Amino acid sequence: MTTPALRSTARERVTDATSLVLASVHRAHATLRTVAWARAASIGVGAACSVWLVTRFAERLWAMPSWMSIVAALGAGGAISAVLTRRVRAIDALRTALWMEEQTPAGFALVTLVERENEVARARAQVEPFNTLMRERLADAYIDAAGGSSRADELVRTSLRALAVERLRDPLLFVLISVALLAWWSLAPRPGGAIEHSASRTPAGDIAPDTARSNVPIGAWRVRVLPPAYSGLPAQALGDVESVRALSGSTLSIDGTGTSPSAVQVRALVDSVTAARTGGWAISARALRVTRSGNGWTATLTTDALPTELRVTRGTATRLLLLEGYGDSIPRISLRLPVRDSVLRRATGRLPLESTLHDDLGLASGTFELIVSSGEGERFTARTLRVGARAYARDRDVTLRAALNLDSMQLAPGDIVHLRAVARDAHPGAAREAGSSETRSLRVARPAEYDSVSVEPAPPPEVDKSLISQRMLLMLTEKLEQRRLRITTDVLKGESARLSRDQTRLRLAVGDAVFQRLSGESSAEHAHTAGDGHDHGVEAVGGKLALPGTMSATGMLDEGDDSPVIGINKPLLEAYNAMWDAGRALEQADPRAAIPHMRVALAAIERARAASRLYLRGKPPTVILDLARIRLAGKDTGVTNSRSARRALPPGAAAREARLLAAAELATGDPSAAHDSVAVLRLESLADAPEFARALATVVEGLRNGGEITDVFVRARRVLGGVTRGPNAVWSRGGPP
Amino acid sequence: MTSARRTVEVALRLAGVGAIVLALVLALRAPDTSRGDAPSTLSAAALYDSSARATVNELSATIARAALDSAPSGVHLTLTGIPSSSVRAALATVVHAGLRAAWTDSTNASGLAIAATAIADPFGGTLVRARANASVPLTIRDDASTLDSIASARNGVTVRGARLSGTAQAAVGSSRARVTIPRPPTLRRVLLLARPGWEAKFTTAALEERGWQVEGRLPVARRASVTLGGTAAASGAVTAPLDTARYAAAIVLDSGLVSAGVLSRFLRQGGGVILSGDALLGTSFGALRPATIVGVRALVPGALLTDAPRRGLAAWELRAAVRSVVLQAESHDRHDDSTVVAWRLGNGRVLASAYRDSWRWRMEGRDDGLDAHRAWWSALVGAVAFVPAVTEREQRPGNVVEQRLPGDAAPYADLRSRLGAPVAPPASMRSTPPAPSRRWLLYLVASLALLGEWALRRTRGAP
Amino acid sequence: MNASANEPFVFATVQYDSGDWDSAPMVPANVIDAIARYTEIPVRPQGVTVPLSSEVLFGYPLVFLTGHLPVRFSNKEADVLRQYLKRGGLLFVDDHNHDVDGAFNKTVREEIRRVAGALTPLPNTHELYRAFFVFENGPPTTSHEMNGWGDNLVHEHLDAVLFDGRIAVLFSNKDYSSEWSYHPDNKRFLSVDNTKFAVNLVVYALTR
Repeated sequence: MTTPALRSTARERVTDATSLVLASVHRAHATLRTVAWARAASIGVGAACSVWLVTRFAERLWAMPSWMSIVAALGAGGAISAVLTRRVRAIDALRTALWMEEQTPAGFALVTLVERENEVARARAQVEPFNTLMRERLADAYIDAAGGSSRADELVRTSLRALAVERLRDPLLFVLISVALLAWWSLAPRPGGAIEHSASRTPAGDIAPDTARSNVPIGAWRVRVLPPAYSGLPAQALGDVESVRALSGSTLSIDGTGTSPSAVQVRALVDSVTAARTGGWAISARALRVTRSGNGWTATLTTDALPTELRVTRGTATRLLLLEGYGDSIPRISLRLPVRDSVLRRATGRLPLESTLHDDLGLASGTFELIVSSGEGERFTARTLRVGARAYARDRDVTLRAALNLDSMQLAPGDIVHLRAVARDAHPGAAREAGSSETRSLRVARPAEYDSVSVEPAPPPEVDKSLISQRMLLMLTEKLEQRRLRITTDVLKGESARLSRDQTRLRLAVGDAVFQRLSGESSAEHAHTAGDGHDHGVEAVGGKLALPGTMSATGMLDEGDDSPVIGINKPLLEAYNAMWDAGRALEQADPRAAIPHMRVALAAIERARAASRLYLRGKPPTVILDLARIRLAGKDTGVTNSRSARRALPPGAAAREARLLAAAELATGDPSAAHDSVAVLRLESLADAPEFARALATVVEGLRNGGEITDVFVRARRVLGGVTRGPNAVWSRGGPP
Repeated sequence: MTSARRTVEVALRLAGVGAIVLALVLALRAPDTSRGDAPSTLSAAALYDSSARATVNELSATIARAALDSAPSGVHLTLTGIPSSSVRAALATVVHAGLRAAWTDSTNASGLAIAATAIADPFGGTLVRARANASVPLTIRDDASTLDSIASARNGVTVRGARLSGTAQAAVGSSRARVTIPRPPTLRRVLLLARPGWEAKFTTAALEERGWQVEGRLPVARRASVTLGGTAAASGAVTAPLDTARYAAAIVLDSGLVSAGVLSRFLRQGGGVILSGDALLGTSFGALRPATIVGVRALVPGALLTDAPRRGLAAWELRAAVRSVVLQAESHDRHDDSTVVAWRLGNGRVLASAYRDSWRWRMEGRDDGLDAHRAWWSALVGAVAFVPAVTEREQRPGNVVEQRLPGDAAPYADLRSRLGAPVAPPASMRSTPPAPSRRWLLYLVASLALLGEWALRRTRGAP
Repeated sequence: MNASANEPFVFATVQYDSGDWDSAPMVPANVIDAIARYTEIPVRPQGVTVPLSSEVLFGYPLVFLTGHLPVRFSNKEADVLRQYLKRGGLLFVDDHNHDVDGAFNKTVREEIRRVAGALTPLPNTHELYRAFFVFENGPPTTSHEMNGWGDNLVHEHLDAVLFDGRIAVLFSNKDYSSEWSYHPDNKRFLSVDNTKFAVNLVVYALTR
């Protein structure tokens, strides 16, 4: 029997040992369960990865929807994990104790202890003190078997560690390998040679989303435009833009952030008209100075009226700013009063003068300018006067009025006054051109001319009547065409027939005026029409009049038994033929087809009016030269000399097409560089190929937004006209267009 | 429960083993099913891809099978598109290896062919022509984009491109014909034989502005003349002899300036001659000219300002000789007037132009007449100019390895030459292709079954 | 028709609205005479007048303009002339006043500047002076210059507007209009033919 003190220490010992052991068992239980969970989870993950790998491989052989592989992977992983977690449930304290006994054989003492503990826990009402002793003895037995409580603990811990390693090593390896394989499979480039149709790929077919845009190293900049002071336009702060429109003479500044750029190159593109005349593109390039300001840098430029490109470079990064410079145009003026030239008998009175002035930015001054010339024969003098000068403060549209006092001008008979309105805008340039109107001339008649019949210019030809008639006919036809949908066919036919009869009558009248004979008779007295039996030397081909090839350019014919035709009024001949076409279309009740012919006839009559004013002041003296006598009668002879060749014009369209194609090839690899080159090309084409520039604007837009731009490229190429369909000729070289 | 589990295990084991045995049996039996003359059809889809790897794999599989057989089988192809050049070459090899190959034509691209000629123009340019025999849409494209398309390939299409790059392709359905765009040729000078006048002046101006170099001598007086270009001008010596070493073409605007013998010699060397306007008068160039003057054509005043400006130029009425080609004609109410006629004479070409004062087109025509007159004259010279021949190697120096497999420009003809004429589809041919072998299913079943059996066994604790 | 039925050259004088365009009616005959005398170029025996405001001008790629009075082109005339020069025509202007301060000189220079660009002096080594006869010292002096008419200056150069090296407008202050205003039959009384420069001009126009 133990003493109470011994019993208490024994009891303490018992309590210590038991609780120690039980705690150890619980710890081991928890660890074993954790290990089993981890194992189940890792095997499940590994299985899922492997299944996914297998399905990815299978996708390349047979088409499979992508959700199938995910479902398969998840399903497999979940199923396997579920199966394996069944083990977890099987791990209870008893089994833990059993396992611990395996590591530290104690004759099933531990197992029994735990079993009893479980029973104790289950049957609380039947707690017996007997169990305490039992427990103590069992715990002791275990600890003795282990060789000490601390050693027991240590043994358990070591075993647990070994178990965890052993149980988890393979699953984790499995997981790692499958994840690694999966990663390699996804990221490695796909080997080629798969059976896929080689669809025709256009260079712009698969443009990646424009990620390059977001990596512009130059960074955002602020662009400010300060127009010249005289224009009165407000200053603009534009922010981060790629293209600017500025008046010539403005100050353009770019404020950027970061380190200063290594270079800012300015290229001004000469317009194509000048280029054609000087025989080539002249691109003047210069570098701008960059100054530091605060945290950033600033570059300043004075603009002119040419398309200009600013290229900012820093290291390998480049950014473009495109500048469309436009010039200040000179004022536009039209002279309202006096309405036409006139001849005055006496130079007295006041003549009202009026003209309208218009400028895009603002006028500075306007006046009427007169040049008075007097003299005759070889001696002429002239003086210049200004009347009605006004100054303006940037008005855009004004009417300038003045009154000309003819008495104060002291005009003598025979003097001529040339009058026009002149205005200047506010542009400060020294050699700035002034805008001017048409000139009217006023002539003071000489006394000798009073009785002469030919004081006035030749009387207006009879075709003036036709002019109004042809214009009326055109208006009536256009009205008929507008009404066509609302009227019946019979009404259309009737109206059309009436118009065609009027047109025919007019045409016959014009036919009379076409010929002018040497005898000076006006054709009205000796009427000729086509097909009247006389030989005019003009054929009627299908109703129209055609000139034979034997006639020379000036229209002098030597044949015919009438007096030779010395002048065939060619414009009136064109009018005749156009009227014939119009008449025929109207006969067929087709007013729409007649309208263009009528317009041609009208234009031809206008030209005839202008061209028929020959011999204003009587015919010049006729000098008859006998060429046969003088031919090569000269004593001297010339020398052989050589002609300098003309320069070839730049093949504008071909060069542009080459650049467009180069940009298209660039678009797949480097969209931002392609965007820049197309933007520059657009700027250069603004002057002489505006259609192409418009098409390029859509290309620039497309490149900036990313996405499919094949169509816009093709359209731009078509617009440039580089590709045309030729005739299917047998000639292998291709014929003339 | 346990017995049910055991039953399941046993069943799975049997299934797995059975599947393996079945697969083995099938593998040993396989040659029998493909023995005999039943033709196998290569999938049409596999035949016109450009990489041809799968087709070559299938073909080599077919060859291997044939090698194992005592009676090699044949291959019958139903082609819905002409195969690419590498596939055609593979097919030719297969035929050479002894395999019987026959094909049925469902391509709709019979006679597909494409040709590209470099235009003789200082600004460059290429003329691409293509046609096929069927009435299906035809598309022409180059490396950069589509150039043109027509609804019926039977009509053929000619496309004139100022700057085409890489290769030109004609496509009908899924058949393609390809040809390399030739490099622009080096051009020689043009000799002008004319008297001083507006026609000579503006023709020279038009050609020079288009990049041609014009030489010549305009006789002004008995002992004075104006020389064009850089020919021995200072000393007043005669112009360089007319031969193709220096000149690509000669333009004659007036008669009496050059003899027919000189022009004939030039033509024999391959040069080109243009006889325009008054050069066609008289009998001096009788044998050379491709058209004769039969009258004076009436000009239509005011036509210079319309869409048919050449109707307003003074011109002769020409009658084209037999064997000549009319390059341009103007339509009349009653008939067509030939205005530009050309023919080949010996090695060279002669062109006759009816217009006597084409300069009026430039001066008196519309605003676009300036460019149009230049382009027209440049095209006339280009139609006859002598172009030195360039070999294929010079076309693409250093790229001998990249030469296309032959036959790309006329793929249908190439296919026919390799495989023979197409035949009608055989009656015994299966309408559906044989199912691809499903052997993989057996393997899958076997592995799943065995795996399942093992899992069940292990989870119940048995070894 | 003869074998070289090339169109003959026609000498054209420009008629413009504002001024005395017909102040030198004998010049055409004299120039035609000179051409026939020294060259084989076929030429029409009579000149023509072409209005500047009409597109008929385009049919004559060499035209002659002279006068005493101020010259102001209307909008239509300016448009026609601009087109004419762009297409390849050549305008020869001569100041009949022979006065740099005169209204003709000042106004014509301004009008030409608007239409074609500024007039610049033509160097005396230009190929115009060797186009048929050789003029080593540039444009031949006229008697009117030397006799003190007008501004009493002997002008050393002619002025021109060049389009890519080619003369588009040739401007003379030397008063050739007066120099050539006599009947061609009177040439036999002159020891030196003073119309030779016209031949250079016409040959230049016809061949360049």
